[in-house]
Amino acid sequence: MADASDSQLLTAWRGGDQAAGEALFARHFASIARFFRNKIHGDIEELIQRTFLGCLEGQQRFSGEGSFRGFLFGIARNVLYNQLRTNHRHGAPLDLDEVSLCELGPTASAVVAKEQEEQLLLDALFRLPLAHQLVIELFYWEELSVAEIAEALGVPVGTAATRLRRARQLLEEQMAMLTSSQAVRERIPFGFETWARNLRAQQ
Amino acid sequence: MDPERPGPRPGALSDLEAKLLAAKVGGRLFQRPAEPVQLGRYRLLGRLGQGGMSVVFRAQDPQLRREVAVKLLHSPRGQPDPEQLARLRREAQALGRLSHPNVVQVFEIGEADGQSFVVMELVRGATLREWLQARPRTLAEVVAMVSQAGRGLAAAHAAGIIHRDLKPENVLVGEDGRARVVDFGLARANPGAADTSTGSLDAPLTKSGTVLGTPAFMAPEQLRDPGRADARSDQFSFCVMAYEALLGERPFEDLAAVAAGRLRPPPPGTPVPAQLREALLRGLRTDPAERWPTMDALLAALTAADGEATAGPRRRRWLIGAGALALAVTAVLGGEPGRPTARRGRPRRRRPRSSSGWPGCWRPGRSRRPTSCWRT
Repeated sequence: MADASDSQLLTAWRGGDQAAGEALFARHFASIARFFRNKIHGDIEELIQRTFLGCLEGQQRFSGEGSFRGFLFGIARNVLYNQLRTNHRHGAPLDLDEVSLCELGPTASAVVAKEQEEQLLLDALFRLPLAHQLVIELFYWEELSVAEIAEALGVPVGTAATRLRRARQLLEEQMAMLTSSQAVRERIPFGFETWARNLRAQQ
Repeated sequence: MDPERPGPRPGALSDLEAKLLAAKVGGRLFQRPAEPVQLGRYRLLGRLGQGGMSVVFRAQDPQLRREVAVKLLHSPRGQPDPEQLARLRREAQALGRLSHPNVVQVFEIGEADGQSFVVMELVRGATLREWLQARPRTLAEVVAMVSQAGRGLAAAHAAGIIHRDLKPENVLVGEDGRARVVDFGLARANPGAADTSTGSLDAPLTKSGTVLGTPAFMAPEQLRDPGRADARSDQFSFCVMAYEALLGERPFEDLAAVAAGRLRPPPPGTPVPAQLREALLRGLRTDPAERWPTMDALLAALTAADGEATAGPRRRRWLIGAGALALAVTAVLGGEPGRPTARRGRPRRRRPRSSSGWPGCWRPGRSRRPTSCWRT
């Protein structure tokens, strides 16, 4: 079971093999939990559960050719959007791609970063339109490829690449707006990409 | 693929929370009983809240058959700093010796699987901020509630404990109507300057990952040097909190105003009597020596000012806060007579702030999360 591919496990699970389902869940649970944890303030059990159940239902969408993670994050994104719409029910209709979590209210958990640069990055990230935040997160933290991101967002690869470029640009702008600290700025000399990778590599 | 690749990912999960979630969701997905997640003798039941420093779980104490709150240092990336641990233990020990109706009760400091944690009374209720927003409150009600928190703070001071991060999110109002101050001094800082470069009142102030306080509620001397926080800086924080609860806005516009001691004028048409506001303003003086000598002195002044105010026949009917506006609107639309007179002058919009730690992230009127909310 350990060396079965994601799509083999999924096929087996769809065929009724619980152990395959458990193995698949164990592999991807942490990514999905993290995905919801920083966006939803309250209980996320239900959302994680719905995402994994979504794998069983989306029969036609995952042919086994594309990436399972892209497919799974695509379901997670739908679950997230539905939840945000439910939370928002009282207000005006909402274009979730365009609104930032920051504008949606205190739904995000109080993630406080260890270092100031990280805090800045997180603050800036949560001010991006959600579609752009997701792209950044999936690319840098979950290390999805552009093709996988395209799968998750249900858009062509070219669109995903454009969105990633735009998201990076917006993030840099946000960070510049958020900090007046010369010291922090000086640590971001080579642009966001290098900096984000370095931050990750430090651990 | 390693799902637990370390990294400063947004929303890093603590190991225990991940375990708890995996057990619960896995149990439901595959229709098997969820494996219990234990921390020492405590069985974790759910997560109550999380901050940068720690995470709080609801847990069952099988020996005493009661539910408790268990707080442990949150270290998504390795072991907590030994200094932080020592601090946690010191504060928990001091709090464990303190028993006061307005201070959350600490039962024990536990240790299991190399992790130290604090076991506390589980308070079912809401934070002071949620309590204020839940419905209209009279002036007397608000004064009484913040005074309860003030008495808890005074008791802690008498035991030599400084809070350092008093704010409405750190006061829990139980379903029994009793206020309890939580989250004492776990964020004690090393002396030294913190970075205030973002200039935001709402971003948590940190230094090397230690939350030093919430700038909007911090005294000027504490902002300059968080290591210098003492009972008088707690008094300042208390006064910012009480001022905001009563007048619906914070006393200072921004950090520069805090440093300069430049106060906002009272909002027009405020029902809060001048004497009450002045008692709070004394606690908000820039020079700690000019503040009230103790919390008790301040509380006595608040009681006296409130007594004076409520002696007048009209005063008691003033309603405080966002709820009052909603009530007035409902009454007008619904044609219900009588109530709108409870509010005179221009309806004033409260300016609630994000409780999530994200600066400026709040739109009024969306915070209908009902119960128990722990801030860590």
